[in-house]
Amino acid sequence: MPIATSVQLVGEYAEEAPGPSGIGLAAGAEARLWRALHAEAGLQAGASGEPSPVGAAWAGLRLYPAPPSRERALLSVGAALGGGWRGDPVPHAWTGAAVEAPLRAGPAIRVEAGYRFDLPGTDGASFLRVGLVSRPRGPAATPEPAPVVASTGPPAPEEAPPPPPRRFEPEGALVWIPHPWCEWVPASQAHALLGSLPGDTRVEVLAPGYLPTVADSGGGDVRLAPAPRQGTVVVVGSPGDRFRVGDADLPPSPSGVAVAAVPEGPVAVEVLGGGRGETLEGAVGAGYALWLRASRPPPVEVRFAEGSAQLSGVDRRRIADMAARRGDAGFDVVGSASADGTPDGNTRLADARARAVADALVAAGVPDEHVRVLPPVAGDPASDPTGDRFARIQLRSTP
Amino acid sequence: MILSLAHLALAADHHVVRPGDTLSAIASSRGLSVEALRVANGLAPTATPEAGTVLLVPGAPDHGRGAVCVALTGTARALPPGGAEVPLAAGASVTAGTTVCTDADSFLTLRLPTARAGGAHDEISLVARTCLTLDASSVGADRSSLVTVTRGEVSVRAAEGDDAATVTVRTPSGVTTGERGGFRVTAEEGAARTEALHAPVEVLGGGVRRDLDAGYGSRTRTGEAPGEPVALPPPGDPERPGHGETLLRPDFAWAPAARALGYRIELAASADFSRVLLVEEVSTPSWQPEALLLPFRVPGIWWRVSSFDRTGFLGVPSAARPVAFPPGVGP
Repeated sequence: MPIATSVQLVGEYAEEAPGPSGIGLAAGAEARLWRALHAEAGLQAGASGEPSPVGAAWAGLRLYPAPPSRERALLSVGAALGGGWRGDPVPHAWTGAAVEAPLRAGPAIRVEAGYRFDLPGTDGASFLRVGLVSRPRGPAATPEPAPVVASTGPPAPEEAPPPPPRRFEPEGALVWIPHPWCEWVPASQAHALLGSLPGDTRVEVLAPGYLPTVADSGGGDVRLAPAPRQGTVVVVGSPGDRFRVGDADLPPSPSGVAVAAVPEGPVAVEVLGGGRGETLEGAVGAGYALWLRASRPPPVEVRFAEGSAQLSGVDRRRIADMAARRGDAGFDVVGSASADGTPDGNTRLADARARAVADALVAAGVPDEHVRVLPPVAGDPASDPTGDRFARIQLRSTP
Repeated sequence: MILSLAHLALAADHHVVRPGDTLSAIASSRGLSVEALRVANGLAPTATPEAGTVLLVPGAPDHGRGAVCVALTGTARALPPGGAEVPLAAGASVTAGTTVCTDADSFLTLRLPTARAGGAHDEISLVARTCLTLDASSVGADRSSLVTVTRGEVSVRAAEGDDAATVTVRTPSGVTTGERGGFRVTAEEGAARTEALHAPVEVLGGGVRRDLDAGYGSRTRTGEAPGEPVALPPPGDPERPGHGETLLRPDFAWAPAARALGYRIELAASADFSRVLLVEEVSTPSWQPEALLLPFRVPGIWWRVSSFDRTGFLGVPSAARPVAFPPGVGP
C-alpha cells in the first residue's frame, strides 16, 4: 500500500503537575513532502507521565482541519499514544514514536525528535518538535457490513455484491482525493480511495481536453464534458517575421502570415522581425478565427556628421538591437549624401555610409548574404531637409 | 388616402374609416386613446382621416402566428407580452406582440411567417441596439406583417418567390410599407428615415403619404409629412479582397463613391446577408482592422459596402463578394 509522508513541526507548552507528569497544549503545522503540498494547523493536547528518568509515555488528542483548499473544513480527530526517552534534568532532548488513529482518516505513524526548553516567564515546559508522519494512502477501514433491514418481500441475498468500480470518462482522468491523502491519483486507482470517504465529499476530476469537474465521492460514474473546441489565430505580420503563439513557435512563413490553433480564451502573440518586437493580445472563442495585425517594420534612419561615414556608439547599439530583432528578414541599406560638394564625392560618401551600416549589421550577427547595399543616392534633396550637416541611411526589412 | 387597401391587409389590427368616423370614435371603439391611434398612423393632431382610409390599430396583435429567429450574432433579448424578458436564441420562435432587442455588436434576422412549407417568406434584419415589436402577421393570399421599431435600424429583405407580401414598419415618427421588401427603416431621434433600396415603398407621416422609388430615401419628422425624396448615395465598387480571394490579410478597399461622407462595410455568413457577423463604419474607402474575429464554422464569408451621405442616408449596398479562409483556419 502506498505511503504518504509529511513533515510536522510542533510547538508545545506543557504545564507540569507536581511530580513527573504534565499536561500540555501544542500547535503545529504539517506540510506534505510529495506532490500536493499543503499545510495543516491544529491543536494537540496530551498528558505525559514519567515513570522513570529515561522513559516517558504520553497520550494525546489531536484535532486538525482539512486542507484549506477544500470546500468544507473536514475536522479530523485523532488519538495518539506514544513513548520516548527524556533526559533529566531539563533541558533535554525528546525523541518519540506514536501511532495515531484519527477518526476520519487512516492510522498514522509519527516519529519525532524535539528539544525541551524553558520559556522565560513561564513555569511549564516548552517543546519544539519536528516529526515525520506517515499514513497509508489506501482506505483505513474495511467496509462496514450492510445494515439489516426488515422486509416482507423476498429474502435478500445473504451477501450484497460489491458495488461495481466507479468509471471515469475519460479513463486517463486524474482525481483529487482530499484529506487525509491530498493526492491526484489516476482514475483507475480512485475508486478504492473514494470508498473510504464520506459520500458527500467533493472531489475534483481533471483530464486534458475536458472541463474540470467536481463530483461527490459517493456518486455514480463521472463523465467529463469535453472542453470547448479550439479557435484559430491568424497572425498578420511582414515577410521574415517570426511568431510565437502562447508557448509555441510557429514555422516561418514567407508571406508573413501564420495560422495557429489556440484554446478558447485570451491569446498572446509575439512578433519578432524587421527590427521590431511586439506582443499582440486578443481573445478568441471556440470556432472563431481571430486575425491579429502586427505593426509594419519601421524604416530606421542613421544620421552622420557632415562629410563623415563614421557610426556613433549609439547608432551601433541601435543597429545591433535591430539585428537582434530581425526575425528572418534581411536588410537593404541605402546611403545618401547632401547635394553640396561634387557628385562623385557625394556618391562615394553615400556608399561609405551604407557600407558602414552594413558592416555594423554583419558585426551584430546578421548573415552577410542577408545584407544588401543598394546603389547610393547622392544629392537627394529629400535626404536632408535641414541642410548639408547630415545624411541618412534607411534600413528596410526584405523577404 | 393614408394607406391603400391593397397595400395593407392585416386581419386584426386595421380599421377602414367610414364616412362620419372620427379619430376619437375609432379610438374609443378600439379601447385606445386618440393619441395612440394618431401616433401609430403618423397623423397630425388636427388630421381627420378620409373615408376609406385604413388605420393601423396599435395593440391589437394577431397572436396566431409569430416569427422565427433564423440568425443571431451576439446576444438579443425577447420580451413576450405579459411575460418576463428572456435571452433569444437562433431557432427560437417569436410570438406576435413580442418585443425583440439586440445588444451591442449583435445582429439578428427574423423570418416572418410562411404560407406553406418552402414557400415565400420575408425577413427582417436588426442591426445592433435595435428594438422591434412584432405586432401582427398573417399568411395566405394577403400575407402581411406589421412591426414597430422604437430604436435602431431594420432592413426588410425582398420576399423570396413570386408571392407579393406587404411588410409595414412603424416607428414613433412614421410608417413605411413595402410590398416586396427591399427597404430599410431607421428610428432616429424625433424622426424616421426610410431608404427604398430595391423596391418602391410608401411612407406615411403627418397624415400624408409619399411614394418612394427604389434608390431614394425620405426622412419623416414626428407629426410632419415625409420629406422630399433624396437620391441615395451610390455604393463604392469593391476592389479588394477580390471575388473568392483568400482573406489572408484583412485589407478591404473599394472605390470612392460620390457624395459619400463615409462607408459601411458589412461581413456576413450568408450571401443574402441574413446572417450578419460584423458591421463597421469608416470615413475612408478602405478598412484595415487591427483585429478581426469571424466564426469559421459557416458556409462562407461575404462582404459588401454601402455609403452614407452628409444627411445620414445610407445607400444601396454593393454586390456581395465572397472571401475564403486561409488554409489552416478551422477545426
